Amino acid sequence: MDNLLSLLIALIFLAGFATPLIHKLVGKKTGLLLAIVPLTLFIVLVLELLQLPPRESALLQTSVSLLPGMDFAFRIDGLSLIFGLLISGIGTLVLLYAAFYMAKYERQAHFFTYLTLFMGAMIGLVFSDNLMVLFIFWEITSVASFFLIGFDHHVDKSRQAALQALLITGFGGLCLLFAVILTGNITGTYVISELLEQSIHLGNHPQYYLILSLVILGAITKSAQFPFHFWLPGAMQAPTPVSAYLHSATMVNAGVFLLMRIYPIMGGTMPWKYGLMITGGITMFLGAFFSMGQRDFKRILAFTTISALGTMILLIGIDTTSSLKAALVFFIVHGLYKGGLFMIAGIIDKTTGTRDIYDLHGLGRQLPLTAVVTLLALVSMAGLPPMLGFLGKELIYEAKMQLPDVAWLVLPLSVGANIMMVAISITVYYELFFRRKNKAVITLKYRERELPFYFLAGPVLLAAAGLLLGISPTFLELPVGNGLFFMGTLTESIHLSLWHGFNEVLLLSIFTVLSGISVFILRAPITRFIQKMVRWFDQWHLPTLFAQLINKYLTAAAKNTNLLQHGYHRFYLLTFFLAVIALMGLQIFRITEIDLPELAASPIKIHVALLLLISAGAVIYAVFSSSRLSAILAMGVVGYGIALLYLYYGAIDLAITQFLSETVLMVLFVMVIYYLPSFAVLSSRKSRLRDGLISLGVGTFITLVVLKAKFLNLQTPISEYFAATAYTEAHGRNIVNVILVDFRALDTMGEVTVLILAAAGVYSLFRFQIKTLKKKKQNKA
Amino acid sequence: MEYIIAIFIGLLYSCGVYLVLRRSIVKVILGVFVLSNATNLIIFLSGGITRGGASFIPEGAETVDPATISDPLPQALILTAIVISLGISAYILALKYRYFDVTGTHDLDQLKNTDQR
Amino acid sequence: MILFALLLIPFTYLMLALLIKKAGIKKRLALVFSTLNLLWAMALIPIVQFKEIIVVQMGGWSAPFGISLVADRFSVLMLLVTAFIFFLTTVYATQSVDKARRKNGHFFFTFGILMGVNGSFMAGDLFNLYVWFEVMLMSSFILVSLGGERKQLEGSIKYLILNLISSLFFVAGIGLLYGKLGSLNLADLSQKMELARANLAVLNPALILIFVGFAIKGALFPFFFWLPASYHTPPPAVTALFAGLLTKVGIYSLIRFYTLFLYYDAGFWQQVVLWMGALSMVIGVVAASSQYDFRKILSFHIISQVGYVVIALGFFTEAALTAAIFFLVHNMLSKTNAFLVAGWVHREKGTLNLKVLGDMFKKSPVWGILFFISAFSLAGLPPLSGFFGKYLVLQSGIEAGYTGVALLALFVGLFTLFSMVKIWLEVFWKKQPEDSAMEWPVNQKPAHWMLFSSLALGAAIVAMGLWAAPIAEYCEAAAQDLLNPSKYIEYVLGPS
Repeated sequence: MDNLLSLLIALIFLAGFATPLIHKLVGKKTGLLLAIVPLTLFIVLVLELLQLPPRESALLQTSVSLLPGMDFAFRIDGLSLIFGLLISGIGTLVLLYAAFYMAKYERQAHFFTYLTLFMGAMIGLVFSDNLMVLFIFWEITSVASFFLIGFDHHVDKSRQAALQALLITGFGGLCLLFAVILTGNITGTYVISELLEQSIHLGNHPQYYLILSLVILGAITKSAQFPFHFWLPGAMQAPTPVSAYLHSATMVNAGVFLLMRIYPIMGGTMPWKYGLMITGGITMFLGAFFSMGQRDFKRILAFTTISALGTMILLIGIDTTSSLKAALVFFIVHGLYKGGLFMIAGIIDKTTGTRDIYDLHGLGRQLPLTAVVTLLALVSMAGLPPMLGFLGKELIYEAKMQLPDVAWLVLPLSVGANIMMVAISITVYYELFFRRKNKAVITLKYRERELPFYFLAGPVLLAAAGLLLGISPTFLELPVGNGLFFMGTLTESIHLSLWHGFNEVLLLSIFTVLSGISVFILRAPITRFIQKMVRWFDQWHLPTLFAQLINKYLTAAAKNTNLLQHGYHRFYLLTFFLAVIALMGLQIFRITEIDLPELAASPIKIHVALLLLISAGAVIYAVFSSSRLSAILAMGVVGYGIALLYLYYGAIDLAITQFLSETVLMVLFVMVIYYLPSFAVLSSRKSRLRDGLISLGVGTFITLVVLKAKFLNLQTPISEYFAATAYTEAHGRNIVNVILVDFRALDTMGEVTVLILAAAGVYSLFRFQIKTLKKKKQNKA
Repeated sequence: MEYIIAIFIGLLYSCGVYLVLRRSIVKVILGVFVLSNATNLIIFLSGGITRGGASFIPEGAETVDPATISDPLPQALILTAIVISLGISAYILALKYRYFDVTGTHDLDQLKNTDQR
Repeated sequence: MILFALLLIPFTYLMLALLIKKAGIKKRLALVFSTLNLLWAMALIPIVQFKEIIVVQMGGWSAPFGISLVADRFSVLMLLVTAFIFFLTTVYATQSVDKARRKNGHFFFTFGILMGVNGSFMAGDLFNLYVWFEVMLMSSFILVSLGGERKQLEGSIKYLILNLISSLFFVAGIGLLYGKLGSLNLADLSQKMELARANLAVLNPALILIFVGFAIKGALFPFFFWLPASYHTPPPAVTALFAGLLTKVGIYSLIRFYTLFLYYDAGFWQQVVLWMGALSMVIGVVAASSQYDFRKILSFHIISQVGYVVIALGFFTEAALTAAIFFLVHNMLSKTNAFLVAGWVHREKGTLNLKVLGDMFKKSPVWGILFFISAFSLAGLPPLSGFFGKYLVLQSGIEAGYTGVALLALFVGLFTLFSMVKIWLEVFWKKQPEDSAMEWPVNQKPAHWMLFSSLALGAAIVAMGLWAAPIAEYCEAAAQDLLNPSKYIEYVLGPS
């Protein structure tokens, strides 16, 4: 049973990779077929839930290990079960839904591949028992969502949205990676169950603040918290099934899950509480507020999602038993209604061809089933009985009222957000389904009867689940209790019920509903006001700002690159020389004292000195000569001078080679130069002066280095061995020759190779050229 | 003597670097030649200059006293280096020729098309 | 002989190719010899696992006097990856490189590169290393200019002169070092360094010159200019080969040199290496994201990613060297494959300008996925090889206490991701702008050999991610040997 889960996770990935093949075989039924996999998983998880004793966790080891310490192991506990059930359950419904929704799209196979891989990664994320493996799945969800958001990649907006989502979640991912590595470095393990068992808490570690801020950055980028929330509305570019899945129970909830998962290891401190409460609070309010100003059904849902995520983050930040309980319950609530609502948005889009709620009206009669389902889902979103949403909201209020010191700030924000939620729920329902006489009847592309049952199954089942759980929330007591146990070892038993008695919380709820209704009634001015606000805020329209930031970065990067990689060859060389001088300089300043006896210099020979003087004169002449030929000849004089020097010090072979090569080069040079124009003074006086100084610097350095080098032989050279064995073992009397052909024959082999290559290179260079010349001549003719 | 040779090497390096920093491609190539000669001299000098005989083992003898001959190993190295740089220099010259044929310039500052965008 | 064969195989090809006139036979021979080279390199793996360090004294002259070829685990791994990449680029080139270039010795010069690279990975002697560098550079000079288009000539002149300067520094360093320590054999020198410990001040100038030589070859900041100036000019098949092998030889030598010599003066060198690595990392990635040429983006990334290897070298722990080796291998594979995809795009559209391209994913999802694999592996996304490379580098950095440098490396990853996604969006996803769609003859011949090469490399990248553990284990063994130079010395010079 247990290993079945590992197998199923593998199976999801396998199915993902096999999707193109499946699509070839079954065509449009791909989605239906694929849905079997998450359905099986769902059933297995339900059985697991029933079978697992309370407050127990099951560990599944697999033999797969990526690196030491990075083993694939899965843990089934209260927390992962709740998330896993929602992910697989909604996943099944989304696949069914997509089978119809995507039927007319091109590249369906790609779509289902991305979606299935995403699902697998999400499941892997919540079940993995290793922080590093969790991170790997985390990154895969980012990449898969990049492909899903950018699915319509011919549309500029889609690409833009996909890029923004990837960069922001990628940034968060990197933060998370670093935090995980730091954690592993401190604790010595990435294994979650070990961390939990050892009840390690990092709060007192000097690096705690670094780790915590990195983790929070990871979580809030993924969960679209202010100021990183803007990728989420952009992600509405994705096909609706994707939104229904990503923004109900998966992708964006990964951040929430992460925080819950690591709560026992690093949660509960002051920076944790305030960090999360501040971001969560702002996001919750802004999301709800801005949802009122939207027209597009999906964008409305996007902003309410942001608000809901803010609520969850805020609840985790409040950090009391009841707030954590509320967070967990609210996650379920939100997953159920939001998944349904997105699917409904898709149904309306499919049937009417638009998602603008103000363009629609009177759909209640034409789409009766949809209307009922929408009503249920919206009631849940508004937090009214008898839906589960009511329970969720009550718990939230309760949690916030118990908050001692900052309740005065959090509670009004929260009530405000909920008022907006109530109002927007009513508005959406009214605009879509009530009929207005002054508008023409909407013509539908499909009637409800024409839609296949699996297209409607999703919202219907989700709404039904919300209703069922709302009426008898005792079903949730066990899993939520188990989940809480793994978040903070809370042992008190959980009691959930719809009716809490007549208390402050209920009063607050009634107040919320009444205010929501008044907002709805006054919605025209309020909407206008909000739209004005939105416009005002638009001067800091974050997606645009982000795009501008990228563009600015690109321009700056291009500018700096052109400064650095400017194309002036001589400045490249200049940089090289300066860098070498700098390194040498550093070195000389660092170590100055040498404590070694110096060898005596050999006596000065006047004629050799004279020879060098002449060569020196020649090289200086070559530098400043304006005639090409004389410069080359002067260079020849230098070469010959050096050859004589070699000769004088007994290097006969060397001298001969130097003579020969110098001669050959001079001849070649003269031959080539024959075709070239004469020198012109190309550089300015200033640059000549600068170059002169730098070259003098290099020369001085080299002189010093050589002098330092000369007088200190730390070791006897190996060449004594050559003198001793050249004749006896290698049978040659010319030691240099013996070295070349015997002791170091491999060098000679390389040398010969270079010569061969050079010859062939010159040959092919000229052969190509002759062809082009011929072409030129032909062209002229 | 070493002092004089060292200063000479320094001078060669100065001239070589100065030439290499010119815009004219011909001067740059000349500079590379100077630098490679100077580098060979460094090797030669570090092997130790002895006004000794050539590194031969005299007829009849089996070995030779290393103190009386100049160090043969640097000579072998320089020999290899000279031949290699001969090959490369020949190729540079050919390339230069070809380059002038295609572009009609020998000003290296004209060569920035491949770097900037 | 076991090691010498890796020089003999390319050398034999060079000789044969000189004798044979027909282009078709040359091509087939190239395939045969590159396969041979690959098989031989594969055979070295079990041998090195058994012997730990393979040493061959050329000509039978004992160690410090003759030339030794040495291959430890690190070298053998490099040799294997080289052989693999070389084989695949050869296969790729049979379709990708135009006939005129093939006739004029494309394969000839690539085998020159192979010989030089193989030699450099095995050289146990400083001057011999220089000779192999020259063989490699000579061939690469010619390959950059082969074909003689204007931009090629421009690129090649810069490439050539800047690299020649590096060789000169290198030789001067060798000369000075010989003057000091009287030897050329790496093991012998390392041993003598130990004896000369008190007088590092005298040795350091020589070491700096050699170090700069390697840094130029490895394209580290501030010595990288030759690379972006020239890499995008020759045919893509050539760039792919260069990207996979050339700078990596410089880095390999740097690692070898660091572990045998520079670590004596760690206080100084660690700083130098960390700074240069960090700056290369940042500058490379910033420059890359500003480009609009497929190959130029990738070229600048070479600099950035070499930086990762170098900072890992700077951390200088066992874990860090493991990371450096792993990253190096990953980078060779991924980078080459990215360039292979660029070659396909070039073949289909005749340009690599991002602004003009588009719709390549629609054209061929398979090539799209291949690019995705290599690009996202370069960006360090799991579960591809690049992620594990990055992870190992970061982890070792944190462990060694360089949290700041590791954080820098982390965020360089984000910019890498950005520039890779930029290519993906512009080349593969965007609709090709109609006004800019230029006339380009549709290639009738399917590019199946090109696809084969790229598929093989893509599979290798994925496999390296999925089987990271055994590879990392091998790298760790290699790193242990690197950190224990006395073992190297003992194997080369014999027990003292």
